[in-house]
Amino acid sequence: MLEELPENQRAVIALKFQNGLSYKQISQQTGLSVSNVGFLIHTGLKTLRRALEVRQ
Amino acid sequence: MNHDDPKLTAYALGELDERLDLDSSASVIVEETAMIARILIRHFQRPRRRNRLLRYSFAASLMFAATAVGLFLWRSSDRQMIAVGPNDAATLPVPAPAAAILHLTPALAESAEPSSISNTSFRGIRAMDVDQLVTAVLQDASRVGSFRSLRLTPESPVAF
Repeated sequence: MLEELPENQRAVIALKFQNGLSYKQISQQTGLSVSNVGFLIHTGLKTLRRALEVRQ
Repeated sequence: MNHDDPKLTAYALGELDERLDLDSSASVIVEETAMIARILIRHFQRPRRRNRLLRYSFAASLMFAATAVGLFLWRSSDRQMIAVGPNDAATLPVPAPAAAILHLTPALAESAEPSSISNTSFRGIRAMDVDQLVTAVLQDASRVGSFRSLRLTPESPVAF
């Protein structure tokens, strides 16, 4: 499912859940704003949630 | 509350310091987001565990192989020693029987019985003769009950 996400969403999701970074740390590492990081994670998780709902 | 708000996701992930007042459907979304977060964390941890297991099994295989090779080499060297042994023994010079060094006629001081040494035939091979001498002395000593009474005298004068 993760493979279906856009690259930027996958990257921030990996930093958040694989590396355990906070929004602020991801922002510092990627150069994105904190709100942008939040938006990408939110969108990515929403897509995953919907995909899970469809599967179930 | 807008249910498609990134703030809800941030709240579900513990990124917000403030506490949100959630209606029931927002609570469901927060709960589902938190569940997906747990699934993702598990998903990303699984390869690490697999890699760790692979590393451990690889290390264990290496140790096993090293032990097996060590054992094999050790056993090989052991066999080599055994194989070399008979060849060496075959080439070792066999000492020719020499003349007896001493011809002793023992006398038991406190017994009329002849000593066992009288019946012992020495062959001139030192190791065997010493062995026979010790056996005979022990026999005499056990008969007399003490080593003190045993006296050995040369059969004929020994020239040095």
